Amino acid sequence: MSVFYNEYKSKLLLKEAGLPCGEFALATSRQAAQEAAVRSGFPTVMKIVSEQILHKTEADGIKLNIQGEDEAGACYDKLIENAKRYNPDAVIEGVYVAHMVPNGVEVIVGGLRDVQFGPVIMFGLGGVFVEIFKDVQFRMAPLNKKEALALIQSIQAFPILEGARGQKPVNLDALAELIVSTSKFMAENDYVKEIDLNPIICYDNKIQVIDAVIGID
Amino acid sequence: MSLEHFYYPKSIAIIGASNNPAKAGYQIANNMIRLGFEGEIYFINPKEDIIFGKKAYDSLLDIEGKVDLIEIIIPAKGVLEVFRQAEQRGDVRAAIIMASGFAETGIPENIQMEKDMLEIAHRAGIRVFGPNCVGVMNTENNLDTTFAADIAQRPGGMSVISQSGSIGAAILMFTCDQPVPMGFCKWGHVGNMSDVTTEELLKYYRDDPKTKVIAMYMEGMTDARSFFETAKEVTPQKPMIVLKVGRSEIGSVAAASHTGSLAGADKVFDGAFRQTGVLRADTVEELVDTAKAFSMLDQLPKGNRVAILTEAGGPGVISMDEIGSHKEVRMAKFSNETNARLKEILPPMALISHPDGYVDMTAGADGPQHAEALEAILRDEGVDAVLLLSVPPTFLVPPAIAEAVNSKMPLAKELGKPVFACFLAGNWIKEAHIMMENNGIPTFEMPQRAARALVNMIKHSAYLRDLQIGE
Repeated sequence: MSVFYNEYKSKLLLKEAGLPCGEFALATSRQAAQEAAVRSGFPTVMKIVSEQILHKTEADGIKLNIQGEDEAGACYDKLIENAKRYNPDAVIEGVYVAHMVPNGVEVIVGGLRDVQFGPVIMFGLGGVFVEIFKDVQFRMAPLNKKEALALIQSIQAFPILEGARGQKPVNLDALAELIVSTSKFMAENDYVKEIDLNPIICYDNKIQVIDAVIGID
Repeated sequence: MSLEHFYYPKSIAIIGASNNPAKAGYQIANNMIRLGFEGEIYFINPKEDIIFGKKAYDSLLDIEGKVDLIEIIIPAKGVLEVFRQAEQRGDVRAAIIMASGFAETGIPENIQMEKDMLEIAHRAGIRVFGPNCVGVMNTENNLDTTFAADIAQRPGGMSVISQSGSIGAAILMFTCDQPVPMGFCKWGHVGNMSDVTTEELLKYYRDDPKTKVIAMYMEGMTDARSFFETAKEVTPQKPMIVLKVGRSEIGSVAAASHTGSLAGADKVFDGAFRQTGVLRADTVEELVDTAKAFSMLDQLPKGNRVAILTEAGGPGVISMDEIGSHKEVRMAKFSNETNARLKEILPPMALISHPDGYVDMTAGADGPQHAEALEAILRDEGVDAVLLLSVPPTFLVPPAIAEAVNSKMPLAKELGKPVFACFLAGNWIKEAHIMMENNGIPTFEMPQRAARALVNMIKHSAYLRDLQIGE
């Protein structure tokens, strides 16, 4: 049975591995949360951090589009309260605070340690593409950049990343770099059993990991 | 140690050869004699004096001449004793074990028996195929250790690795069942892989100068990572086509994460195939069709632009459907000169470049018109390969069309543009298919099968070109 690192811990590790996770902080008091929110710049997003609460939406553990210091304080209190109600035994490590990024194309990158193949990497578009169509592709890790680009191009929904229907194309280069880094991280760290980067938001100039979970043995 | 002693033994001893046609030991002996293995054959069966007109020995130890390869057809319980005798002889280098009943049963004493067998083999320098396998075939020396029926040994470019003895044999039966039998080079079934693995066999074929294309039937892999790492070294040198079936428990162990729940075994295999340039076939037909194309042709298409030249609409559309469902391939776009030339050559009702790359000559086109249209298309710089289709009506004699088409094959070869053909159907076109195959045009039973084999060839050539671009 895997143990999962919480989002904060996962992102710290991934950031160190070179993945674009943006700036984020862990606040353990109302005041610290307010200060972190101001530093991040509004709008801000806040999420509960607990190893016992992996499905944050279910626990009402996410607050989006926070516009000011007062709201940030109130959200902190509310998140702690919701978490305690959802799972009274959960160890709450604090609240994750980051700037809220605008909408973009959502993709998912995953990693898995397979019994036959060892470390493998998965890529697909987020939302219905992964949930309904299961339009994902796998490769053995580690990958070089050329292989990562080929992986991106191999999914059915690739035209969306290229900018279908008048949208700007997403930054494929940055996406390929992220896949390469994730695949190296999988290949180099035997204790890592699985990784979910879901979603990653892609823009024409950059990409950013929005949520991350690392499962270890 | 290489697998040379399995495929090129100077002598083979068959332990359990029999005079009873109901036994594997009879059929194997029969295959070896019938095919005329180019080496010494020794039959061992203490209950017989003569088998197929040859002296039957009581034991391995009674054979005076040298023994390279032993094939053990007797039940599992007698296998260890044979290995002890082989060790005592000191000249045996390879063994094929047909019996099952070893480690795969999970029974401790059977596991121990396999361990003991391998210990002797290791000590005596004997490599092992099996247990639970039918061994090898090699058309170069007429070697066949199997009891497969009706396989003509004809040299060809394809070598086969099969994780099923029966499907492996069926693949060879299909190679015989072609307008011009395509033959094969080597064949191997390693069974439970106590020693020699499919990966080692793959490496052997990679280094075998006679093997041009590798076809494999795959059920599962104990070490998929290592196999595919080897495959990645093979595909730049030789095309590899694999029919992969079955599923494993992968993913179910880690279904807590999103990635885990999406990772069906097949998805990961599929990714590994793409990553290592291995062509994946969905059916036995596709495996054989594709291997045939590679084994017949020395030239790969230089690009991915396909032209379809057909005498009838139906097969044309069927093949276009197949072409259209692979994004690695596209229909060619003819130059204005080619379009004008086709208009000049073909009957007035012919459909030219409608859609792009597609020409329906209609049933009004005669042999010379087939040939001239083919030439015009071959000469177009926007074309990399041609699919030629026909349902010859009564007034078009198939061999006459084949002859006209064949006259353009020197040009096709000079330009390096493969031509694939499918005439429909059955006995009516059999002679035409034979004539075309003898001139370097692979033919197929159905239009979509011709298209699929061509698509696979184009995928392989694209993979090779992509490798050259570098990282």
